[in-house]
Amino acid sequence: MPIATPITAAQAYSSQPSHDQVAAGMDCRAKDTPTDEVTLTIQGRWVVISDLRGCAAPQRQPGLGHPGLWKVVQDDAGPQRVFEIPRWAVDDPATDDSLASTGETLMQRLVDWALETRQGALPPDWVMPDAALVESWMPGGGLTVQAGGIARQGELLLRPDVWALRMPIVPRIAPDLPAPRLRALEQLAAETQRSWAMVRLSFTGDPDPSALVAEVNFTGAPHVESLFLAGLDVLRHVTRQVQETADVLSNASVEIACLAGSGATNKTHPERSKPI
Amino acid sequence: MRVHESDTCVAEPRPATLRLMATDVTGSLELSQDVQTDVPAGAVARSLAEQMELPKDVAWALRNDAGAFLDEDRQISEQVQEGEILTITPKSHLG
Repeated sequence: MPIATPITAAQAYSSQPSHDQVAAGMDCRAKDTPTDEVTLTIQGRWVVISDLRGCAAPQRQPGLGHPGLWKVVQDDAGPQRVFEIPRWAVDDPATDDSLASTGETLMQRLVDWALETRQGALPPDWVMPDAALVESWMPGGGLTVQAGGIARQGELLLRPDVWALRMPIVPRIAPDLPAPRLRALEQLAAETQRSWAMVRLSFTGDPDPSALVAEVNFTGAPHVESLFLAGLDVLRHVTRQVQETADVLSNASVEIACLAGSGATNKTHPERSKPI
Repeated sequence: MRVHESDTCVAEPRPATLRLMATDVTGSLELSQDVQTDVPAGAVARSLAEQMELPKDVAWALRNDAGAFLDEDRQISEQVQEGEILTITPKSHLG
């Protein structure tokens, strides 16, 4: 049961909330747009920041490349735009070196990251981490996921405009994939995004989807190893959990009766083999 | 406040895939597969072994047409051509 103790954003910024305050939960308003409400709650091991304005515009689903962890999830209360931070990263003693010089807390930096990236902006003084630092955090083979008969290779993006981890869930979607299968893939992506923190799933290609990709986007984030490794773990778990289902849904040589409709078939490529 | 230029709905390049043929050492099992080009050959070998339902307590490797073992740590596309036939082989030391 999430705890929500009201606190204003001004308090959050001026008083440098301790982890105890954060753990007690807070509601706040964005500092620059007072009519836009942002709530912050503790849900299990996660700090969840919700953009209530996003509820009114659920179609504003951040896609690949959008900085930060914002995503739209659908639950019983309807669509919500959320930003989820692992609590253990907040407690990480080995935090961003730049914090010492500014006197800010890591929690302030994380909240600032969420608020700034809400509209696609970045914290004003944020800099991309050194590639060597991030690569030193990466365990060997960390971006290779093999489960069942399927292997996937993710990538670490460290470009001037994006710091992210990405994993192709479906590397290639056939242009003639039947619509029921595509809708099922969309539902799988939405459900996965709801169930797993930090990660968002997006289709690439416009107008026709050409791939389904999972992403954890750290652009604008403090340089914290535990935050990065949490994102990597989530990405690996998500890939293991959904890749076989996604593979079957995207492989039109495997007929799925419940998606075929009345008397129709959704098997378009009987000769095509199953991708791994 | 800096505004991030790349925003939502960015069309990304399609992840490349490579089609290859694979067979077990007896030639009784064959598969035609699309694989991501940047997957290490070792992960491809393990996934093929699972697809063929080969024993899980054996380490598997891939050999190319010339009989050479693929380097399991290097990307598959660096070692294999489109449509090439590979043989999945147990990694074993003979004496």
